Amino acid sequence: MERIRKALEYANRDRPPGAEKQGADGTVVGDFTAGLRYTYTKVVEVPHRVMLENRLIAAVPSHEFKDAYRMLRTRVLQSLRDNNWNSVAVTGPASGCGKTLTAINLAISLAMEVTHTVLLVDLDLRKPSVHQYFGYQPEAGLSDYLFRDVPVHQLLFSPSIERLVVLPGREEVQNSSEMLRSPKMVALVNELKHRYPDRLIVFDLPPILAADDALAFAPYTDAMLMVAEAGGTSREDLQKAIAVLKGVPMIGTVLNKAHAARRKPAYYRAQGAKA
Amino acid sequence: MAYDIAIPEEHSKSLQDYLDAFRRRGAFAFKIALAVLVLGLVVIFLWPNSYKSTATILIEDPEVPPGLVPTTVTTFAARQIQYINQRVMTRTNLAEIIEKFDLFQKQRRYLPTLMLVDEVQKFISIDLVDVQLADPDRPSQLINSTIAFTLGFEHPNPEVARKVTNELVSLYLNENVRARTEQTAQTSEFMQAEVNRLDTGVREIEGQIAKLKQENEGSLPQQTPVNQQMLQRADQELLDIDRQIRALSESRVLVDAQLAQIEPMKTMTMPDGRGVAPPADQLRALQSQLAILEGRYSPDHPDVQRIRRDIEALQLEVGNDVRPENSAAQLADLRGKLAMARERYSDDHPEVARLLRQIASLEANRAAVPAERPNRSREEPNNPVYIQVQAQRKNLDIQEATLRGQRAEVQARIAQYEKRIGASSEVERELSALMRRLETASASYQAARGRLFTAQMGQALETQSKGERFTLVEPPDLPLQPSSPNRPVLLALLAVLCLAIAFGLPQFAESMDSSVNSARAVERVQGSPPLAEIPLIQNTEDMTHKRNMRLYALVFAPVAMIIAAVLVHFFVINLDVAWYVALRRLGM
Repeated sequence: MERIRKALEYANRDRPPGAEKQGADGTVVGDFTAGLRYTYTKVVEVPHRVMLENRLIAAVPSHEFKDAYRMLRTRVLQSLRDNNWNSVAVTGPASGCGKTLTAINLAISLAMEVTHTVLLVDLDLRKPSVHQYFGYQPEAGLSDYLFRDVPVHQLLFSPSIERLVVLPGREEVQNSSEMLRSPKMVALVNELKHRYPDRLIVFDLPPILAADDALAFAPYTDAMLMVAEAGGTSREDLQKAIAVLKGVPMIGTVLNKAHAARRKPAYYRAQGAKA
Repeated sequence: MAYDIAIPEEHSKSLQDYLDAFRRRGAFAFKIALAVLVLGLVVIFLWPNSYKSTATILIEDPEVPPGLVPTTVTTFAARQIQYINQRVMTRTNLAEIIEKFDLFQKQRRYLPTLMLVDEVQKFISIDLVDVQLADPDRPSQLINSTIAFTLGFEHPNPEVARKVTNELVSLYLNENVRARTEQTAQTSEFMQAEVNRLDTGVREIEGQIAKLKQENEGSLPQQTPVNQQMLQRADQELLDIDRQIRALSESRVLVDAQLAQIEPMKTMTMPDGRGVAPPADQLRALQSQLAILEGRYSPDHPDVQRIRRDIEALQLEVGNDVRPENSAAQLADLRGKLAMARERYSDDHPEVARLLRQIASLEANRAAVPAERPNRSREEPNNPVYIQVQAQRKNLDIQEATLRGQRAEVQARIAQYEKRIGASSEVERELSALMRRLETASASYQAARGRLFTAQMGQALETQSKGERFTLVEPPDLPLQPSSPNRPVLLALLAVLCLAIAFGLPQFAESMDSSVNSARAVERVQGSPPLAEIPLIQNTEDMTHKRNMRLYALVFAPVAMIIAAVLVHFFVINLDVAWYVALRRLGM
């Protein structure tokens, strides 16, 4: 027991948790994570109430809109698998369209599948906000890694959701787009992408039309996911954003804050609730 | 399912789009529609009732057929109504009505009554009742004929509405009667004045004619034949007199010859039986004897001497009645000479002077002769035959004198008649001019008289109310049902409006919204539908915020409005007045 434990500790020193459990069923995962995962990764207990307040409904067991994220997750997964990708960057034409929330909920939803782990990276260096959704203020963020060489594993935290690890930002970075293209950053991304084959990475990028960050980072992600705000994003902006990202693989668009989706037939809602 | 190319969405709206829009915004639109419905219902049912009282006034045809007695009021009924309308709807009348019935109590507190006059007119209605009639002149055409009209007044209080309508009706009827009688009276008055004027003109011309006739009595055109006849007769008379005078002269010559042959003195028979010749004969015998003796003897011959003495004695007796004839001849001779001398010499030539002296002495002699005349008749003729013939001659003289007198008189008459005939043409000209004027004047006068008669008849027609007139057939009623607001219509309109908002607003908002708001919009932009549609997730904060906003809207908005209204009412402008002024500005 002692040896095994030591070996596991060694193995997990430099790596995020949740890598060893593919093929296992729900119960195994449960036991597994409780004991093993968070030796090096900070575990942050996020109450359901906080998640609900911050609209992180993908983690809430029975929420009426959960199905929407499930649908998104499945589509994204299909796309990633078809192309043999393992990273997706979430962005939107302008700020306020709910891309960060979508990224988090997508990440949570992806993490709900037991076949892979998920890393959510907050690349909105200008306005890092992912951690806020979990009601957590990290001691170190991505900027600390870039400027102060803080090791990556010290930055990560797990918001008490299995198979989900978050790489938060912490402070505002002025020359964010240069930083996103800096060799250090590129090296980090490559490291993150290739370290574990069964890890999916979700990047939260700043809006496309607000700054060149998203465009600058585009080459380093496998695919893009566009978030459009129903009733908020204008057709022109969406068109422009798509045009700007021409050439970058695009999984598709998410229509956020959609009206029509609210009126799902009761059948699905009931099923969703049961599941 | 996916579109290959992006189609501009305006051109490809499908039923689904409408349904989507309705689904997305229907609730909001329904809320608005509901609010409008509630507000509308409140307004419709709380809006004060207004009652309209109406009266129908019939325009009756003249009782006397117009062909028989034409009225002098000839305007069309509709025009007549408008005319009366203008007369009745004066500011003064309306102001009086406002005062009398205490209309617009609130507004009158702030505004002068005259400013409300326009307002009160909005509540007065006049509707003409027209019928289509065949035009009597052109039967194929229809004309509109006004047979009646209704007067109405609208007021929140039905009783006031009735009273005001009543007042209006009486104003109309009175004004109509007044206008018509006044019009007819004025017509006949005018015609009377015209007749008087023409009458004066005719009289004046007649006076001129009378004066002309008087002044030219005798030379009037109609007297010309008489004058001519008289002239002819006088001419005849003159001829007659002349003939008589000629006859008398002849008789006188005869008588004179006879008289010359008769000795005035009766031949005295001497005792020897020898008649003694009358002295003149004796003188002539002696003169011829003297001539013979002088031829035979010397003047100193005693015979000659004797005869001379005899002659002188006889001359004394008979008178030298030869001398006057001589002196006359001498005088004529001298005058001839004088004339010749004057041609040759000047007046102070001795020759002329001498001749003048001789003529003067000769004339003096001649003047003296008559004094000697009695010498001749110193001895009265005593021959009865002579006396008879002499008497005859005197008789002839008297007759001639009488005739001459007559002739002069006849000539005077002829002159007079000629003068009259001469003057008559001038008189005739003047007279005919005057007659012409008289004719014209009297023709006008006659025509005016005729018209005056018609006008007076028309006036009688109107004053006795037998002409076209307004009759109140339906007196103002007390309205039981409010005339406005027309609630059923307003309710229907409200329903239509609400439906339009409920179903139109989503589409409208959708068309105004340029954002991607549906999966279809995304599909149009990027060519494929979105991966997922994530509904708006609301947390408790959102819910609270929303609830609070609703609460604020429900509680504070009305409160704020009431406070604002109260502040405006007391510190800026009275809301009653503001409302009224706003309506006036809008021209309502």
